[in-house]
Amino acid sequence: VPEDEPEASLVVRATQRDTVAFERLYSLYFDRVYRYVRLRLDNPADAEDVTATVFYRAWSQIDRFSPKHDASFAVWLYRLARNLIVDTYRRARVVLPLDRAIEHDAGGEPTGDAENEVEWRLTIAELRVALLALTDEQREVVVLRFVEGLSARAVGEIMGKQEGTVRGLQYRAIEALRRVLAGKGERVRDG
Amino acid sequence: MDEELLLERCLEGLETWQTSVSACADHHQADHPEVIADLRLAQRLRQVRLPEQEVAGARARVRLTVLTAIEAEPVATPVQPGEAPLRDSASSSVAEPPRRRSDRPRLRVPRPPALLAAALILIALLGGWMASNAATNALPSSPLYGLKRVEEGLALVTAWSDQRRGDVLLMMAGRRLVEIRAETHDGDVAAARALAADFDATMHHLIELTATMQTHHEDTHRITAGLAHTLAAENEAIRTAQQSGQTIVAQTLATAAQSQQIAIQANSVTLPPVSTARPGTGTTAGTPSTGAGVTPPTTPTPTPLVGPGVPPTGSTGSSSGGSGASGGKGGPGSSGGPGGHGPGRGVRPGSIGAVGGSLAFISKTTCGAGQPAVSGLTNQRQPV
Repeated sequence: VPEDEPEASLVVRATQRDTVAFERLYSLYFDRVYRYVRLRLDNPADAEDVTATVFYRAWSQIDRFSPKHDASFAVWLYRLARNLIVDTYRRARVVLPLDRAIEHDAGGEPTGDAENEVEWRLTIAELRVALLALTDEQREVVVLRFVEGLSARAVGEIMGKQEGTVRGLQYRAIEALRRVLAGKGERVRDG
Repeated sequence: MDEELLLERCLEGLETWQTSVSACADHHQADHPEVIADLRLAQRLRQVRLPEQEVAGARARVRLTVLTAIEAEPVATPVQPGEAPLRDSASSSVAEPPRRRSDRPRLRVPRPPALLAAALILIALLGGWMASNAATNALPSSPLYGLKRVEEGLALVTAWSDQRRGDVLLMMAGRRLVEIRAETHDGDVAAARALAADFDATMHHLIELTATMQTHHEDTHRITAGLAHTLAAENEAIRTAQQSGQTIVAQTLATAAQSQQIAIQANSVTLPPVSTARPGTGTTAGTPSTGAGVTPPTTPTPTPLVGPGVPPTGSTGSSSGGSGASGGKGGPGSSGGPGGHGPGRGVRPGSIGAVGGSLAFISKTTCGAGQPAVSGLTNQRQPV
């Protein structure tokens, strides 16, 4: 497979059961999908399981991907991942208490300007703890829109929402996250 | 300007390289300081990265899992002339577009030899699964006991993370305790003592693993809860042995328990705090009174352990390591995949088997009580 082969061509060949093309797609998208899943699930092993299922389903159902109807292959993958995460939540029926999450995820030091309430390097652990204080939709938007860098339109496609709704949601989400992180910052500084 | 709209404008400007955070701040810091703070946070969120080591490991493991699944999947339709076969990817570069349904030849009815071969394979698979299932409860005197131990060894070897390894070790320790209680009940002291030695070795392995995980700042909540629970179950087994007059077994276990306590202290392993009795099993809290010179060490009473890591101590012969609250025992039909899991290997919610079903047959061995610790999600699935 040529390094620069367009994604569309790779998808077509994967549809024809070309494993090499599919492996190339895997290489292109693994990091993004895994990061998204990892930020939504507490356990790395669970994240690996879900990510593996995402890619296996992508292989099995790739003929369902339609360039006409789906915004992009990436968005289609994210949607697969999101559905699997929803399934995981439903089956687990477990809620990680915030205090416990903070207990085993606590870490990170404020390193920057005290005037800015989030002026320290945001670690993945800190972010995951902070996300727990948000609503499900806010959490979803923060990860997809800001961490993954998807457009509001793409996020809307993944979440089944209008672009405008996503914009409103993203504003409330980032505000909420900033407040949570600011609270953490104060606590850390006080300590 | 509306702050929601301002944030979106600035974000769009950043994404299209038409502006920068500092440029937005120059224009709007005075009027909308909160939006600028949001923007700075958004910029930091884009820089959040997972540890490269974790990603690299996950990438390799997931790749192997997916490729194994792809290789294992049955070919549903015959390969078309001109269409690339699954394994021959070299020629697939010139593969034709997918053919229309009407162009595809009909599936041929399998000939009798093929049917016979399929039936034999099915019988062999079913037999293997049944033997494996039966081995779950096997005692050392059973011919299936070897299979049980081989399965455990395999599960331990193939555990790909400390978390999994801990789950497997907890399952093994729980099984040994059940076996010790059964042998004690049957009066086979020699077998019970040999099992106690195995149990002790497994516990020491588990304690060392927990210490390593704590050193590496890994999540040990589930493992330490299971460890505390197993220690309490060990005390219960000591008491039972003592009550049934098997003082030699009780003493052997008590000695083992004391060495485990020393190992726990030496490795600075922190166990969950003492709580009340484990629900549903009758295991009581605290240090049991054993009398007759057998003094079991003080062990923390466990917090309830969710899942199959440790079998119920009060139910000798029950399916140790079997399905717990976390999911059903794997097997044909439970996950949708052929083959299924061996006995005692629960499909965790969140595992491939639990989530999708498609990959259950190649899913990594999951003996533990893994529950994805997640926050609730009420969103609906989206059509794919």
